[in-house]
Amino acid sequence: MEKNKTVVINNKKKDLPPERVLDIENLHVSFDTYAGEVKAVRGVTLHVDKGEVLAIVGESGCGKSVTAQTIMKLNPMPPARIPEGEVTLGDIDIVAAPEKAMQKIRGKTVSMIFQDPMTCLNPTMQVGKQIVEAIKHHRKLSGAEAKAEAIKFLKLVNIPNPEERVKQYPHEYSGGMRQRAMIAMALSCDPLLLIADEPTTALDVTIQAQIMDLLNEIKDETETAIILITHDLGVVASMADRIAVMYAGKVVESGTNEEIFYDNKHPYTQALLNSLPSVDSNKRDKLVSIPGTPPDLLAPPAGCAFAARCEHCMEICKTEQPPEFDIIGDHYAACWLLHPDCPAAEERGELNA
Amino acid sequence: MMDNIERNKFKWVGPDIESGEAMARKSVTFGRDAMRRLFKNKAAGVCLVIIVLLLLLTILVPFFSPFTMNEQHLTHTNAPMGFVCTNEEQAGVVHLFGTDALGRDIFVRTWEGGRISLMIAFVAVFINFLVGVIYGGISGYMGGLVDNIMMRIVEVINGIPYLMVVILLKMVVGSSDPTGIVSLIVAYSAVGWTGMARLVRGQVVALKEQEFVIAAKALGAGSSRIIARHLLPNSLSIIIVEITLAIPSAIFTEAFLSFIGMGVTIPYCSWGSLANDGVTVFQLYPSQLWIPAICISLTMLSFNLFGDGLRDAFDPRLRR
Amino acid sequence: MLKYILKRVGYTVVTLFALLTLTFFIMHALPGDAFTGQKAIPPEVMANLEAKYGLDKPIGEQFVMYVGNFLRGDFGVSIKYNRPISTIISESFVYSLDLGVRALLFAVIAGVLLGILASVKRGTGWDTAAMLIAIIGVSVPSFIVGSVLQYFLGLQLFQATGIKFFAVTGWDAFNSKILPAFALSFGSLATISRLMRTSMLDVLGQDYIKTAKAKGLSNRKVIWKHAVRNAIMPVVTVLGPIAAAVLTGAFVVERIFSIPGLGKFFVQSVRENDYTMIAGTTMFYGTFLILANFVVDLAYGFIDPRVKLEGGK
Repeated sequence: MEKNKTVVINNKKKDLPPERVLDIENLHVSFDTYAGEVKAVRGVTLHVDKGEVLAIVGESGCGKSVTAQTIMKLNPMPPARIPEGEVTLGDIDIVAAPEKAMQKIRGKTVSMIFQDPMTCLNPTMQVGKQIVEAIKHHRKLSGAEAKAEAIKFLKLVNIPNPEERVKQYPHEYSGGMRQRAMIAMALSCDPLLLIADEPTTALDVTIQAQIMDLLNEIKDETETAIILITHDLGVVASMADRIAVMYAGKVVESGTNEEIFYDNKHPYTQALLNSLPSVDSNKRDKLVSIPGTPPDLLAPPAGCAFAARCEHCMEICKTEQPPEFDIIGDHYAACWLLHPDCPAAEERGELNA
Repeated sequence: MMDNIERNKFKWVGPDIESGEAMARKSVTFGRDAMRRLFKNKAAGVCLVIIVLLLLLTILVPFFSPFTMNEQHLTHTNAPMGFVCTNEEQAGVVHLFGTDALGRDIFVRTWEGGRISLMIAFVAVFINFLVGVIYGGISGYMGGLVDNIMMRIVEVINGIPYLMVVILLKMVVGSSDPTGIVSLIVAYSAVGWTGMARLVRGQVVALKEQEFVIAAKALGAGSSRIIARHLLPNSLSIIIVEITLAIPSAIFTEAFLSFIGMGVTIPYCSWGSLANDGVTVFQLYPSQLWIPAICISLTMLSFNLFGDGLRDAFDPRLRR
Repeated sequence: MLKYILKRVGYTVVTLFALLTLTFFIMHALPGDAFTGQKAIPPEVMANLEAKYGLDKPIGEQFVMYVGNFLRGDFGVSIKYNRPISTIISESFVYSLDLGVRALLFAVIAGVLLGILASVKRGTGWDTAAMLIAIIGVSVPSFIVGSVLQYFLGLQLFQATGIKFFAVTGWDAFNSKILPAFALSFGSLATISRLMRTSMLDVLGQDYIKTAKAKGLSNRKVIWKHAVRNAIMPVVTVLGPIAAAVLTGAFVVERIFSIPGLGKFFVQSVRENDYTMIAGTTMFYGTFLILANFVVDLAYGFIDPRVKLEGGK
């Protein structure tokens, strides 16, 4: 990390392992609206190491994008607020960092690509210029050098004929190419962390695969850590090292890729996986949708947020929030079923157990 | 390490979708929500009160005034505001706004003029509304070539500066119109409908494509039902706002034309023609211009602010 | 781009033709005909008119002559002055143009700045103040603004201080140009600032603004380099109508401030029923504004890269 006066070094976190890129602890984010305080993120704890890919998975509105944008403090404050929690990026205390410091961090230490590439590039500015702008802002390069860098990065993300393409406007690019250009822009200052917020959701299926391949290449070739946000577990299966499943502003289960796919413990994770088609699924296997909708975060339920939709729901789930139960190593889940006192299904009186 | 928890707390209850669905926000109907937001907007409320007051004054004052609009008091011409009559028959009666160069009572003339200004504006906007809804409705509903031609015509009409057309038409119609009122309405309506037509067409086209209309069709709803239940409620709010905002523009056009001498003819008067009279004696008797000027501005301001308030109230994106 | 230009040229020609047809038939629709129906026309004026318009020929031929005259820049002869209207225009329009351009420039610059201020400081006192100015500007006709300025800043201020800050009439020294130009620009300034504010708020909510912020750009850079450029597009598209509003508004402002511009002549011809003058001037104004619109459309095509390649929407 470059030394910088305006950057607030987080002294409390000196004991973090050196490979730790991002550490989020008990993060709460609220939005003050006319209707009241919307508690979009309610105590998220996450971490990402160098070169690692963390996938954050969950339904829309579960707080995954808010969490990601809080890392860059992109949510306008107000109405957004961080009542509680810590975000440490490298050795910087993000929550305490003032706007000036954030401007030096954004795009350099952490960069982001968004869901809809069609609307993310400025329509009245040449694509090359938009990349050059980021390069010149963070690296001391001349105009010509910055342009050469922009071409280099466009080449890196497999845009054909980049010397010509830099001069073109976004509407002359296809959707997939725009997303590549966004990725080129995000990588242009060699960030510690790249946040990809649903990078393929707005794209055609064939293009989706290309973008995921590109992200995979980046993962292999650079040291940049990636946070991949998606609602589609299928997308992350091949790529993520670790997965965090979010529901109603909380991480309900977190573990390695294998653990989440093959040894999952939280009923929500299981429900998500059941709603996912797979090649080897039997003809008779039905895809199961999750009935109901996530709770309104204006008034989050007192107990487990998933209780109303959970087929294993118990008395305690309605009144008390489940703590995180460690399973093995980094694998943990927040579900009362994992409590050592929890009896077997028959004893709980569960039907169709 | 874990506290022990009573076993009965782990009793299975199963999912309860209903409770999850129950929204924390109370659902409010669109109309009621719009009204609530409109009344919360203080400026719009004040403007509505002003509009109603102005309307009442223009309707009532001419009935109750001790003077008539063309009655001359040659003993006290250009009297100041609040002048008290001294002549025998009308001793003690007050010219609230004073008198003009011919000794006519400005108070009664102001509200008589207001009657005509507002009437011209309302009638012209109503005609624009009718023509615009029919033209735009046909254009949007037919689609294709008809729509294309009809909209090109609108574009050409819009290309000609509207005041120029209004002046020309006023010149033609005005020569056979002794009051000057009808010709003002005709001239303004001839070009004023294009905005409404575009708006209505846009609404119809957009709604025709909208999924809920297609869904209604797929469910077997007839055309009339689609129009009554889906098209109208969705377009109505936008049309109401447009009408509200068209009135100040009509008032402005009337005032402008009257001010350059193309307005209503003597013995009639309007706010524009009063301002026109006032400007000639402005340096000596400024109040004779202030009064109609304030009336025009206040009316336009009220309708503009009220229209803005309505638009915000109807805007579903602002629902909370 | 070529397709776009051709399309605009087409529209301009059709609109001009519509205007010509309209004025021609209106002149003939006037009771007893504008040319022949007037009792007071002196014989030498009448002879001039007949030669100019070929009044003895069939109506179709008259129309062809009329269009021909127009293309040669001949707008006819004033009944009252018995002078070619084009001469009157060339003498007086310079004043109107001077006034109009000053007013337009001020309206655009101040309106855009005010709109940006209101949108960036949304919800604060700045926003409220800017929008209060805007709503007053939209609601108070220019002749009232002009009279108010003339009375308070011209007359009362002079009487109170003894110093002539602003001249009340005429169009010569710089201090005679401020009040009329401001009075004329106020309404357009208000329209532009409202439009700019709405457009800015729309643009500031766009994803590419988030992208620019995510690059680490400062707020100022995000606003000036990314938001304003995009938000100003709708303002460019209304420049045509705004120019029309400014030029027609000049009719009354010139009357109030006794500026010897074309507008003053126009109002006079209205009062004196000088029909050929009204029609000729209207045609001139109409042509001027239609061409101005055309220029604005072309400019828009150059500013917006999307139009440049796709050939218009």
